[in-house]
Amino acid sequence: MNNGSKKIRVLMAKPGLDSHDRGMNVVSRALMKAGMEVIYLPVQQTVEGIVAAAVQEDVDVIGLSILSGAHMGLCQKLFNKLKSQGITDISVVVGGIIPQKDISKLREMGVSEVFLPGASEANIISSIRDHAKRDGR
Amino acid sequence: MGKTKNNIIKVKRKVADRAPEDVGLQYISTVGLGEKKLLYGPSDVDDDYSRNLGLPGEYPYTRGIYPTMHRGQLWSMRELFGFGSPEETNRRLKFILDSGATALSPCHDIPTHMGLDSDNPLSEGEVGRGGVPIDSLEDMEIVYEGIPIEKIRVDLLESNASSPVLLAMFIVLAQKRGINLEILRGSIQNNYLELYESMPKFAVYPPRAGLKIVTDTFVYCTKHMPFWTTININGHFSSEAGATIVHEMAFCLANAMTYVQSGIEAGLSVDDFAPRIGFYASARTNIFEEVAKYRASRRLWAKIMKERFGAKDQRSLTMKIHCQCSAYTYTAQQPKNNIIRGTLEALAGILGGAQSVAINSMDEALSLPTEEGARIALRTQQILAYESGITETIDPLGGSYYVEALTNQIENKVKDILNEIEKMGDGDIKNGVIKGIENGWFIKHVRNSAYDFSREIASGQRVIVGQNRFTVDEEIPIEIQEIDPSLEEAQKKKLARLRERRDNEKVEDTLNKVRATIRQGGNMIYPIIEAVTSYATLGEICSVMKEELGEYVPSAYL
Repeated sequence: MNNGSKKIRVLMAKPGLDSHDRGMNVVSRALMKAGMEVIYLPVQQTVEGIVAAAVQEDVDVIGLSILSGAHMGLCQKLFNKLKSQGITDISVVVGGIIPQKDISKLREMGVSEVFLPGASEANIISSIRDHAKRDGR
Repeated sequence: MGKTKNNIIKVKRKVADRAPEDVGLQYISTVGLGEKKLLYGPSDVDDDYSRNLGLPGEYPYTRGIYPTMHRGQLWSMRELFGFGSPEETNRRLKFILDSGATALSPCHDIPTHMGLDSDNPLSEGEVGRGGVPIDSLEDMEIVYEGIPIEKIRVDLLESNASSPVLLAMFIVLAQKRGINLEILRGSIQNNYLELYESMPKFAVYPPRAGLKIVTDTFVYCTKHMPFWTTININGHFSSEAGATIVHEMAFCLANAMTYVQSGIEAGLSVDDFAPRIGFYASARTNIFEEVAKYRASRRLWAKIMKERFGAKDQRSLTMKIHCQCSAYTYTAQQPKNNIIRGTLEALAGILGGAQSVAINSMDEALSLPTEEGARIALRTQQILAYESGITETIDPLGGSYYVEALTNQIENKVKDILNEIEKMGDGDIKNGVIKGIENGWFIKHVRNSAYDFSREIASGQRVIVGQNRFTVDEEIPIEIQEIDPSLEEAQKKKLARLRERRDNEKVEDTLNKVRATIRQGGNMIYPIIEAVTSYATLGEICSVMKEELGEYVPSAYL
């Protein structure tokens, strides 16, 4: 649990069977270096497992890495799960291979930010800070 | 000679007094090789030509494994592809053959890699994404319908749960067509150890089970398929996951030594199976480093096979390399620039003496290859082969002070790392590899260098054109190749029909045979062939294998 620590807590996870985790690993380390607490789930997670870990670890942000093209279905599943548990104070950001036309749909769904290939580290860090703050933490 | 040498040394002194920044250069260590010199000359290379270089086709094969190299035979030109359904993949295979490809490497979807059938709940939404689903022999028959597998080389890119099952399916496909297995020329990747080293969570069976599958394949193919490549020892996964080029090659060679040692322990004599070992190396955009990597690896492998394993057959000593161009180097920004990156990478592989090359489609960072992207990637190889003149003479960079110095340097670095691995195993390379997998030594190196690389990009120290410099305001044109959801449904229905149609008692019998054979420590390829023949599905066979071989739980390392 948070124990009064002011550190931003981020859960990093990769839903589905795809195991290309270089991007997620590098971003996780960059967030740690930026002073955040990173809870890292190894690849091949289910949406249920991700939500359970997010609740248990009391995170501010869930960062999903999705390269497989299955982002629409997976994110919808995640938000359904969050909603059904009444969770509204966790921001969700997604990094991966996401077509432009899906970005607005993901935002409508509730995704706070989408990072495309080549997104800068600084940009990812500051955006996660913003979204964690915006929720009053 | 003496005079030239002096002149060059003088030039070097002059420039060496200036810091690299003074001449506007900043050298970044990409490969753990340390600082490079501004100029290389005779004093940087060891002149013992016959010992270090020799002729192509002669020990230690630094200049190439065949006496005539690409003048005698061009490298095989491949494209990786595969998506949607077996039917659609069959159409694409024929299209690629019509375009002039000389070997086929279809990719399978992730459930297939993991040994899951399309109707497994874990496969939901993943069927046909990134590759073709193969649930049973029936799908294999559809994929290769009308394709003369006795004439064209087929490389089965399978290294995980399903590797022996896919091989068995291909064998049965050939048998049913009346093709003599002894003439088949293709390969199964079987690249187990590298999975544990660079993407451990993806690996299904534990490391020793992976080794057993490989040695069973060695034994089976030695007996029945003398021209089939039984393994492609890969450096590409670790390289793409972040390993430096010296780590890539050291891991690759440590694994190769482990496989050879295991084959010998399984009762084979080295020259019976080592000729059918292939390698699968990466190529990134730094041409000279890559060329030197290929040359150094070839030399080192020849020495290892001769000195350590006592191999005598020339084919055991020669490292046959497929060059898989990097996808990591590709950018989503200004994606047409990736055509140039692919060209540089393939150029490096060819100048390095590769036997086979695959360039990624320019849209690799954005989506699965489009037909246009795949065609340009193949045309790039054809332009290199027929227009550039690089095939006119063998090893054209041989003798370059720089390339020879770099070749020596890489060889020495790789040797040091091999020693380190061997030390971890108390003097035994196989134990060292397994220990390094179990304690996270490999993955730590891979992830550390991936992180260093990304830091260099973030700081701007490493320039990626179009990504952190020379950018334009653009919308990244990502297009996901839409996989028609009805394909997944159709695949599931086809599977349901198969389960009804086949002789389920026979399936049960053959699965029990697979189980019994694994328990007794026998060669599992034979009963898997029987199970495949009875149309047992991939998922059914792999479930038995998982139950008997165990499932791998890697140590966590970030």
